[in-house]
Amino acid sequence: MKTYILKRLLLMIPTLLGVTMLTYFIVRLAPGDPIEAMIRNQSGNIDPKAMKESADKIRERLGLFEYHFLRDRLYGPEKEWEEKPTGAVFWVTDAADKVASAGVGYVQWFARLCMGNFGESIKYRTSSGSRNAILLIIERIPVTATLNIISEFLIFVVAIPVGFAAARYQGRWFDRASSFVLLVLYSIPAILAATVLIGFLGVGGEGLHWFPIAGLHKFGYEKMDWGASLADLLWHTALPVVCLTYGGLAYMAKMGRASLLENLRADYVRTARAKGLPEGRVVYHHALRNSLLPMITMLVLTIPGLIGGSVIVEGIFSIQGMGLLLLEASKAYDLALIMTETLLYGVLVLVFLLIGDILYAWADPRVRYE
Amino acid sequence: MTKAEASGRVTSGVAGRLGRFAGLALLAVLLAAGPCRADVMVPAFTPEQIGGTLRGNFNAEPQTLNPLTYKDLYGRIVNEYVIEYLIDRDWDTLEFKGILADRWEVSPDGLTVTFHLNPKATFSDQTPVTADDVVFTYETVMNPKIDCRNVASSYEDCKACEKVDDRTVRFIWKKPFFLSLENSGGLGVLPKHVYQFKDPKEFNDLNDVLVGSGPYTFSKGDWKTGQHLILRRNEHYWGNRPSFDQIVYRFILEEQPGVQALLAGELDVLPVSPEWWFKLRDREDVKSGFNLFRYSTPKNGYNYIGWNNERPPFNDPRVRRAMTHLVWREQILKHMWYDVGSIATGPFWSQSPQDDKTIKPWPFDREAARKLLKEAGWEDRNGDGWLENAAGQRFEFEFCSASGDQLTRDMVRVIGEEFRRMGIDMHVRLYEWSIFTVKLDNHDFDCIMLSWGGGGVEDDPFQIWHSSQIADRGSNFISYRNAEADRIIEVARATLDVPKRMELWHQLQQLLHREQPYTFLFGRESLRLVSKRVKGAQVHKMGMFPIEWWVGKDAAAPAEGKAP
Amino acid sequence: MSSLLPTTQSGPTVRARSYGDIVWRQLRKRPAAMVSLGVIVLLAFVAVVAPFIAGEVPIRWVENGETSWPIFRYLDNLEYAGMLAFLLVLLLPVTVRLVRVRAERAATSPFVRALFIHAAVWLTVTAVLIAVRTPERRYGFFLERVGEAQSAWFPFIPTPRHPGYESLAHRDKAPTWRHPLGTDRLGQDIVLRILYGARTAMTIGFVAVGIGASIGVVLGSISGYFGRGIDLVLMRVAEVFMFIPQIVLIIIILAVMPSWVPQLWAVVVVIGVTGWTGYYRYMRAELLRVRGEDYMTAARALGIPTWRLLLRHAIPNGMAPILVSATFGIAGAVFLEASLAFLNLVQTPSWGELLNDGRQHIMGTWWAWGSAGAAIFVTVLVYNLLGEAVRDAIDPKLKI
Repeated sequence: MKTYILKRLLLMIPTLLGVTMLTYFIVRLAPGDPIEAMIRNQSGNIDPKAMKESADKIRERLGLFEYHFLRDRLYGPEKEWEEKPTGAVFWVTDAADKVASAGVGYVQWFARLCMGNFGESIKYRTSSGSRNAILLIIERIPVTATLNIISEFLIFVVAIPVGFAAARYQGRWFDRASSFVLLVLYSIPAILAATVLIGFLGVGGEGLHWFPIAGLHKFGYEKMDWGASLADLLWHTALPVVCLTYGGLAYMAKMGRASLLENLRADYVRTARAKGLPEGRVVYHHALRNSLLPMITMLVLTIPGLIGGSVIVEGIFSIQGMGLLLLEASKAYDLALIMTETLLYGVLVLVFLLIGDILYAWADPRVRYE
Repeated sequence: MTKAEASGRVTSGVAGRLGRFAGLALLAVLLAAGPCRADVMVPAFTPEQIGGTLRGNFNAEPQTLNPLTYKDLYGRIVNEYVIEYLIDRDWDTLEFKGILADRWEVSPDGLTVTFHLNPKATFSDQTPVTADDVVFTYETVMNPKIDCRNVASSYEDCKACEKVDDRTVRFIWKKPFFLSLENSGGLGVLPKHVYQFKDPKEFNDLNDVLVGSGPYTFSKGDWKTGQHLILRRNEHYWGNRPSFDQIVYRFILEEQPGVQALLAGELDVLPVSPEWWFKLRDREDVKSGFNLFRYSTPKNGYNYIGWNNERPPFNDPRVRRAMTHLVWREQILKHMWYDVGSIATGPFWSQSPQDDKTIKPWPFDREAARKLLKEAGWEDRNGDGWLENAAGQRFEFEFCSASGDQLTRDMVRVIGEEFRRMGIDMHVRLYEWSIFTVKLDNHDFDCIMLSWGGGGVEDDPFQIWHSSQIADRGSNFISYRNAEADRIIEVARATLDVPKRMELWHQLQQLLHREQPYTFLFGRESLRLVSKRVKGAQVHKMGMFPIEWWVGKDAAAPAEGKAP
Repeated sequence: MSSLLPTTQSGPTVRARSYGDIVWRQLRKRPAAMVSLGVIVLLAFVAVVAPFIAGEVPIRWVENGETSWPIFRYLDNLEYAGMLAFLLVLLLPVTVRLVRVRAERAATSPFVRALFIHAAVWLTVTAVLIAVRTPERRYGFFLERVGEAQSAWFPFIPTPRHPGYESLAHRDKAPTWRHPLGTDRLGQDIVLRILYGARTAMTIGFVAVGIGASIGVVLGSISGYFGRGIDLVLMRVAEVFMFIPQIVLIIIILAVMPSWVPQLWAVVVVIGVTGWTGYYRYMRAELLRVRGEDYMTAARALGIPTWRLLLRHAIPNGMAPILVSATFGIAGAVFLEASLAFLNLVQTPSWGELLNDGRQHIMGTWWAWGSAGAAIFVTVLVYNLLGEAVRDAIDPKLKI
């Protein structure tokens, strides 16, 4: 087992390198200058020359630089061009230059990462004013985690009883009704659910004004005591949590049903029944316990998926979590932020997959990893 | 004055500082926030009127509050509560009036402007405002290492700023310039003892230090990212005592939640888009709880379709005018802008004397367009429904815009459809800003839909229309080249006689109207909902100014401070 | 040779049922599956014939005594290609039967052969069409000239293909006979938008998943066949694609796409290229499993090359989970595309866009978001239903 874990951890390294490298190259080679676009988009600066200067100053501050080793050799620095060179040779040189600069940039990024420097965001600041990418993300983790923990909890609490009940009474009305309802739930897109919930239940919408539709807190929540603060949080997260939960819930309930059915059909259950054990004991003591463990494993495996899923939900409800940060960072080509978030996401997925596999082996002694 | 950043500097340089390149992506934001200025014109409040909190909203977080390097609208709004100018325009008469300077003189040749500082004026830390501070500010602005090129370009023709004595400063200009008084007086004075720096980088990195002589103050801990920003009353303000204890701006990034916060009583004032305005204005709860304001200010700007004047077929004025005839501005204004705004006929603010009121916008007229296109050689020669020129080339072009907001996309679709019905093979392309800016810089487009924001009471058209601004990433990116226009602009800028200058501006506008380098679309308006809890809100010619509002000591702010 | 092996192919005398037959028979017993299949065919049909249902180009036009059929001149080459593809898919069973009769003992299964024949036909016809034909395009031409025609057969809902100034006057109208699902904020007919949205959804669903599944199957086979080093490397590549957040890839790849690539195709490619890992893993696992089976060893002892065994037996067996997950994958792709359009990340004529348009006015314009939401929901639901049914038909124990 130990060797297995070690091997898995070692295999993580090339994967993470690949993930970061691919992301870095794609972002770096995308056309357009993210810094200039940000300045223009935010400020509507009129003066292109002034903007170029500002962009250079920001670049200097962030330690980003343009690498034109090849091009400068052949054509001189861009500032001194009278007009933009054309022709295939220039095009090739320029392209090679871009790739080379991305390569150099990646190595630099990696070197800085090894020293614990995640780089600075060009667009965002933490509440203490830092632009450090990892701090920015750490600041937002609680938000996404809160949403996902509430959601996972609900999934676990609702899906497993429903799934098991459906399996227990396989083929009866509850099973049929629940599978149908679950399939329908599973097929409702989150965007539709969010639209309907916001429209009909959201404050300021056109229906019942029950739930707030943006943010996680009321203004001035810091002054509340913890009970009121918790109630406020639950009240604010109600709609997004519903949107995050129902899909996973349907999926888990289906899995729970399948898992219990498999156990109920297993030989040991037949043996138990043949021995004359009461049906309740057979089901609840043997089969249920055996099917619960794979469910937990499954739940662990869905966690990374939830983080991905919260991009859309956070986007719709303007919740300042990791998902929205990733979305905004991608739109702005905010390199350091995208890289850090991708890295973190990759590590999370890998770790949870590993935990899932280990749990699986632990739950089922027949599974052996070498 | 090679850079006409000054063009935007009519109201005390604030607009110029913001810059005027407002993409349509910004439209909602600009409409939303509108001008919202606070300066010394704090009225005298009675003791009962003083107290309470004003709660507003920002649609985006400011990048920085640094008084020179900020570039966004929200940085500007915060700055205007804290930093004061030497002189400013009166809100209603549009005449200049003193703020930090109580007197000023302009030499007859217009080259020297002298300001006498108000002896009472102090910064919020009670140190007096002196000539040294003014000179320090000027020198910081002109320091090439400071990231404020957009401010500095207002002073490119300024030779020097000199201290005459402790309370007197003199600006010396290289040549006569119609905005010399306005630009000189529009310098926002910074306290030297706070901002002094050794390394310019140190100054550029100051994000949350904002100290000035204005009626409100900002202190570091009052900006909580993602939540709110608080301005507090300057207890030592040298003028009348400001009314609010504090002004809180929350960061609600999207419009719908903003409206909901307003309706829930969590905000006192909210700028809204025309669409929401239209939706809200007839609701009973809105009518009873809020005052609705609608106004136009010089900073609203206008939007337009810019034709690449260097590329055929848009190098032909007849073609450009035909295109204008195909844009049914009345219909778009009525249905897509909810009638908020006015049809623009030129680059100037419609309420400024600079604007020539005799010009009537080109009407929507398919026949006239067809005729003009035919004159220019474009007609359907082979019966396939598309227009061709004599060489048999099809009239084909790409209509670009930034893929910002829905209104832009909708307008591009609707306007473009009419072009296609006329037989012009048009493709719509929406670009992300990062790519769009590159296309703009390289003049690599056929036609673009964009907007200029924040002009002035008297606007300097040099930067946008003078042919010297085509090259080197200038703002004349549509490459408009007209010797007559160049001449008018040059003469007018050096003309200090007002009626004569206005005459020249009218000539320029007529020329632009005939040539249609842009199809001018709409002058924008600001819309704002203000809670009835807030008293004294009114519209001036220059816009609305929260500085003169009050809620009173006892007015409880609902949904705030209820908790223990 | 093949009779020695436990294959799914028919023997020389007894017409045994093929694997496909068995699955099909199982499927036919399930009403939900049949209904879903029907809905999918219907959706594909309306997507393909959209211009005949709502649009501005008349089907028949009589002017000055001359009769013409404008719509056939106006249909785009790709629209013809789409219709042909629809027909070819429907006719696939017929071809399978023909092929089976003619070649009882051919090396590949009749289904694959029929598929190849149809693909070849489609590619040839489409290529010829694109090379030869230039469709006519005129906007608003016929609607403006209705008065001049003696007789005109318009589509069921005669409405401009794109919103113009005139349509602005009747925006946000509730359903009427003229606009059975009402109009949107620019006065465009919502039936029209739903139809063109269906095209996007169908394209994304089939093409993107097709691309993803093909990459997955090919790489999975390579991985499973060669094993060892290549497998190790390919597995890492797959992990890389699994762990990069899809949204980052999509946003940035869309930006990198040159401007002449229509956004629809860009989205198709991105979803395809980022979504292959699941198929890869199924295929790889299947091959790795099959390699160790006894019959493989036996066959190898008989001198049959391994690659042939894999191609003939292992890969077709591995196709079962691929088929099931592709069905679910289509639902996922439709869902993803709608979400992207909803968040304004792509500009395609999409149901997601329509849903987003309508959401500001949930009561006021229920017809806009309602029809878009219903369209997405029904599409996703039928693919999920079909996926479940196919899984149960193939192997109820399959964990997908």
